[in-house]
Amino acid sequence: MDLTDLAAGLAIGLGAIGPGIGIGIAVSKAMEAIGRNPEAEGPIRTDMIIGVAFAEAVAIYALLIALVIEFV
Amino acid sequence: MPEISVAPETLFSIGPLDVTNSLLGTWLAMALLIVLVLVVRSRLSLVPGRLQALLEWPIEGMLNLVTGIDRKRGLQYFPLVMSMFLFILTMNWMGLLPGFGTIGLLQDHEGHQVLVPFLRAGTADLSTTIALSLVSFVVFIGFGVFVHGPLGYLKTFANPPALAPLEILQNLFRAVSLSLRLFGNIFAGEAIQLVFLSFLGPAAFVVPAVFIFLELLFGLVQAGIFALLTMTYILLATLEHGPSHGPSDEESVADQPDGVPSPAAS
Repeated sequence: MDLTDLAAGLAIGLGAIGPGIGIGIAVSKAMEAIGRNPEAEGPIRTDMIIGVAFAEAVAIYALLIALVIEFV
Repeated sequence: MPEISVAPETLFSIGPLDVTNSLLGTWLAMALLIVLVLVVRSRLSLVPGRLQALLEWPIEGMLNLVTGIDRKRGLQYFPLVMSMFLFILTMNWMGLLPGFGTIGLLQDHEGHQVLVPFLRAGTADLSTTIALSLVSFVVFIGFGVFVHGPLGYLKTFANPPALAPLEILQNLFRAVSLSLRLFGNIFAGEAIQLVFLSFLGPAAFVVPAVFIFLELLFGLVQAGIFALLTMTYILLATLEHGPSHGPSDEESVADQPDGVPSPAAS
């Protein structure tokens, strides 16, 4: 079996765990905040999207590592 | 089956300039935007028609967001942020059109035939996204120098002085993460489409349809994030008391509607 494929799969698979948990926490807290104060939905949504983007960037790095292992 | 390749394929060369399929996609997006804007501008009216209303809607939304924090400064960078949003959104969504990545020439490559598509979404190429993030990087550094003066801007990094290398590294990394985030999202979307299109039977029609809807959403969100982060970085660079305080406390004060006493302001 070719270990490169396994390495690429593990890179993105393990790398997606952290961002997944992080995005989940961020969104759940934002939903809670909107539930408490529905008038502040706009600013909360904007801040949430920015925070989610930062967490998501980590998953994208893992994806790029996987791509580099697979294709380069 | 079309090959997934990270680098865009060169179609032809004009002198030293290699024209790749993603560059063609970028030019198409630019042409579409320019024509759209010229058409709308030629029949601009106080009572907007359908096309004008369609363009006014995102522009108004972004204008409210940008000027809600600091009206004078906001108007200075609004044109840049808005055109980045429209440009990236057009490129992202154009990549989903039929013909992008699917129509091309078969070429021999290391013994097997590979499809070289004529068109590719501009943002599915790392060069485009790096160029865009460098523009954002230069602009937010420029705003910092413009507001604080060259020496004053350097001083905002040394706050406290021991953390200066970390602050500089953080600023450099913003440009890297901006470009990689956009590229990674759009490229991964295209790769997923290619994988699902290679399924056999009815699944080849049903499954990609779901993901095309998701890609529409991600294209919009990524364009918005790029513009929003550019705005946030400019705001952080122009803050009066150094970048160690986030923009959040400023925003919460500014976002309070008039007449409502805000606990943060008192």
